[in-house]
Amino acid sequence: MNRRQEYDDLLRELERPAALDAVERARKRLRRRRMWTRPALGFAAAAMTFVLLVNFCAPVAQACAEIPVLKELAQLVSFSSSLTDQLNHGGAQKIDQTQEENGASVYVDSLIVDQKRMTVFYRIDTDIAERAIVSYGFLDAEGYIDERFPAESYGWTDNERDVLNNQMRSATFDFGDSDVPEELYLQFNINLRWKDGRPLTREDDVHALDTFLNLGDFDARLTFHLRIEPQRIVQGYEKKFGQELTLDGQTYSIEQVNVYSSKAEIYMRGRTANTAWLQTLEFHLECEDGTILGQNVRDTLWEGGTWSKDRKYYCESPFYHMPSGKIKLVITGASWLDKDHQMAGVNLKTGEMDGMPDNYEFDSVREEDGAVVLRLRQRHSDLDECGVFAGGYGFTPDRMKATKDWRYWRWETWMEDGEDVGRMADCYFEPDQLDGDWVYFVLDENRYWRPDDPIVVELSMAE
Amino acid sequence: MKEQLFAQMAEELRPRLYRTALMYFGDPVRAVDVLDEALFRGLRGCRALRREEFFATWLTRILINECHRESRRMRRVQPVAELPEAAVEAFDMLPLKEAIRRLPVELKEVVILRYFAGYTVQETAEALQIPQGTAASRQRRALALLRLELGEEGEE
Repeated sequence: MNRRQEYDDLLRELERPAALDAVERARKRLRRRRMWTRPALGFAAAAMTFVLLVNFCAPVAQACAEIPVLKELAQLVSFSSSLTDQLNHGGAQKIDQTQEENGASVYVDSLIVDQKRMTVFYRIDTDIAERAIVSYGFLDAEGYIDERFPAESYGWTDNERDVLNNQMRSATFDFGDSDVPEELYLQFNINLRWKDGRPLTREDDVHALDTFLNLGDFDARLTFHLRIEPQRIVQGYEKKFGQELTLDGQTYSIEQVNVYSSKAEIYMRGRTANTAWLQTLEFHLECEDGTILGQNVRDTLWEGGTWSKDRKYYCESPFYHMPSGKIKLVITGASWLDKDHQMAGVNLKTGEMDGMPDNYEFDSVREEDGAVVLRLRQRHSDLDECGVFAGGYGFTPDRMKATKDWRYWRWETWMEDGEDVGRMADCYFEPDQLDGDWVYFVLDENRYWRPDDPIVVELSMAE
Repeated sequence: MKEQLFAQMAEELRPRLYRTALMYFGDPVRAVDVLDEALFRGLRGCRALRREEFFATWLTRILINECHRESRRMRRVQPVAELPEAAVEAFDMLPLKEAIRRLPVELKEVVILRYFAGYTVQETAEALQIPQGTAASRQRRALALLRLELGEEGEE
C-alpha cells in the first residue's frame, strides 16, 4: 500500500461518528459544577451558624484577633459550613507574602488546610484593571511542574468571577488521592481584565482569549513558597461500611465514608441485579449536636458515570459535630435511570412517544434549512436540574443503538400565560441521519423518586 | 458568546476536533477524554469569546493545549519517543498513522490540522499561534518526511 492509499484509508477511518455526546457531557459537567444543592437547608444553616459564631463565639472572636482581615475571610467562607468550622477550630494560618509583576501584585493572606483540601485566601492588588482571571499550578523547587501534583491530580475552585481586584478572594485545592504536603510552591497565572472581561492589553485579539484558559501569555506569573504548619494538616476519618440499604426497591450499599474537616465523601455501590442506576442522590447529614449539613455550593456533587454502579457523593463535613463519631445520613430523594429504559423514542410522523420521561411532550416536527427539526416540550419537574439526555446517539451499555446523529439541539424557554413552565427543545436531524419514522434518545435519568419518609442510616465513624 | 451558541457551534466542530485528537494520540479513548476536557474548558470560558468568527481556531487551540497536557502526562507513564527529522528512513518504515504520531510535535500538529481536520494554512497558523509562513514551512517538512504528496489545501 502506498502512502496515498494509507492516507485515504485513514480519512475513511476518521469519518466514523464518535464522541457524539461530547458537547452535552461538557454542558452537564458545567451544570453540575454550578448547581446549587436542592436541600438548601444545610447551606442556610451553615450561613446562619457562622453569623452567630462570628458574633458570639469566643474561639471565632479569637481567630478574628489572629487574622485582622477576618471580616473578609468570614464573607469568603460563609458559603461553607466546613470552612467555617475549620476557621472556628483551628483558625487560619497566616502566610502574609506579597509578590509583584507587571503592575499587579498578589498578596497571599492566609490558608485553611486539612488532610485533603487547602483553601488559600489572597488578593490581587492593581490599579490598572478591574478584574483578574487566575489559574493555578504546583511547581517544584526548581520551577518545573511538581511531579507529585500534575494538573490532573488535583482540582480547584474559586470565586474569581465575582471578585474585583483589591478585594480578598479564595481558591480551594482538592488533592484527590494524595494528601496535602507540608511544603508547596503555588503558582498564580494572572490575566488582568476590564469589567466586561476584555483583556487589558490585547483587545479583540483572538489569542488573548487563550489566556483565560491558561493557554498563552500571562500578565503576571507569581510563585509562592508555602510551608504549612504540620499540626494544621488535620487527619480525617476513613471507614469502610458495606452497609446495605434499599432505595426505591434498589439495593445499594454504603461502601465507605470519609470525613475530613473540609468535606465528607460517601461511596455508594449498587448491586448488579438492580434494575436501575442511581444518579443524583438528595441527602443531608444530621449530627449529634443537631447540626444539619447539606451539599456544598462549590463542590462537585457526585462522581461516577451514568451507567456505573459506583457513586461518590460529597457534602459538608460533620467533623466537628460528632463527638462520639456518630452521624445520620438522611436520604430524601433520588433520580434514577431504569436499565430497561436507557432509550426513549419519538415518532416523527405521529408524535407518539415511547419511554420519554413523564414531563416531556411532543410539540411538532418541521423542516428548517434542509434539516428535520423535532420540537419537544419539557415541563419543569424534579428532573430539571440534571438534564435528561446523556446523549442523542451512540450505544448504551446493552449495545442498543440510538439514532445515529443529530446536528445539534437548541433550548428555549417555554412560556405559558407569561409564566416560565419549562423548556422547548429543538433537535435538528439531517434527513440522511434518519432511518424510518422513529428517532431515539439515550437517557441520563428517567424518573425522580421521593420516599414517603426520609430514609435514615445511622453511621458510626468511631473505630 | 452564550453557552447555547457555544453548544451549537461546538457540535458542528466536534468531528474535526475529534479527528484532531484521534490523530494526535491514535487512541479513541484518549481522544474522547481530551475532547471532553477541551469542550468543558471552552464552555467555561466561552463568555469571554466576543467574536464568533474566531470560534473554530479558539476551540481548536484549547484542544491542542489539552493534547499537550495529556502528552506530558503520558510521557511520565508511557513514553512515546518522537523521531528526529533526520530519521528519514525510520519514518519511511512506519505505517502512516504511526509515522504521524512520531513526528516532532510542531510538525505533527500542522499536518493533523491541515490534512485530517481540514483547516486552511491560515486557520492552522491561527490555531497554533504561529506565522502563516511557519505553518506552510512545517507543512512542507512534515509531508516530505511522511513521503506524502498532497495539494496546498489538502486536495491533490
